Amino acid sequence: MWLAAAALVLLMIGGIGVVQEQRRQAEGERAKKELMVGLRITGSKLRDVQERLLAIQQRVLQRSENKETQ
Amino acid sequence: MRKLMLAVWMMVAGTCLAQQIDLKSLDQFAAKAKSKTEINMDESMVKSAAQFLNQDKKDEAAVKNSVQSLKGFFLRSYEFDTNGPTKFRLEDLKPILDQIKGPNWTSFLRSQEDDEQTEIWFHRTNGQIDGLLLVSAEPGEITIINAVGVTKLEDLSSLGELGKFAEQAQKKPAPKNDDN
Repeated sequence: MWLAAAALVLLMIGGIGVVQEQRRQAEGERAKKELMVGLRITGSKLRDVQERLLAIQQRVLQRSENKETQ
Repeated sequence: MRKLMLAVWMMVAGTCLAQQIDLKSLDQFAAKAKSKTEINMDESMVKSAAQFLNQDKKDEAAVKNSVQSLKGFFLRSYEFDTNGPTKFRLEDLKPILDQIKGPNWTSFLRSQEDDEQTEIWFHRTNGQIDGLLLVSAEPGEITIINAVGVTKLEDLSSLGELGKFAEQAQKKPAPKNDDN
């Protein structure tokens, strides 16, 4: 009787552990996806900024070249 | 002694919170946006996410390097119908930009052309970079990114690489469906 009760308690503790681990993994995966999306947007915005800066730089260079030719 | 301890704790707490920007003023646009992305990740969530990043995958490896020092990541990105009634004005950014008027925030880049505005600000504590704010506003789109704990500019270069991955992924043709 005691043995069966102990086994049941162990099973329950094990089950809770498994459920908790599954929950932790699911939350971690969800957080990872969220972080990846966020950092992709950040990366793409930084590239936009970089391209905008290059365009400004080219415009300035073009203007100075035009002045020199005049 | 207790008062001194309290003052020290308040100073520490103030420094920790200083890099985090209150983005509540953007809530009014969330409901009107055509599409939106909102991310609120504190340090524990960032750490939990980092554990699940696969070093063998190129894009995830790049993220893993970038997030090592990250203590918080907060993002708001809203897209509006340019012909719709909701118009985003640059003045709407004032509540955000007012928060970075302190001496610890330094402007890294400010660009304003017509109705487009881009700003990158760094937060410094004792001269060391420990926070970033990126503001990008153009007609029909507004993106605000607040990364707490970004310590190196190199971290950002790997994020730039990530942007490249995202663009390449977008350019890739959709996989052919065998059923068609």
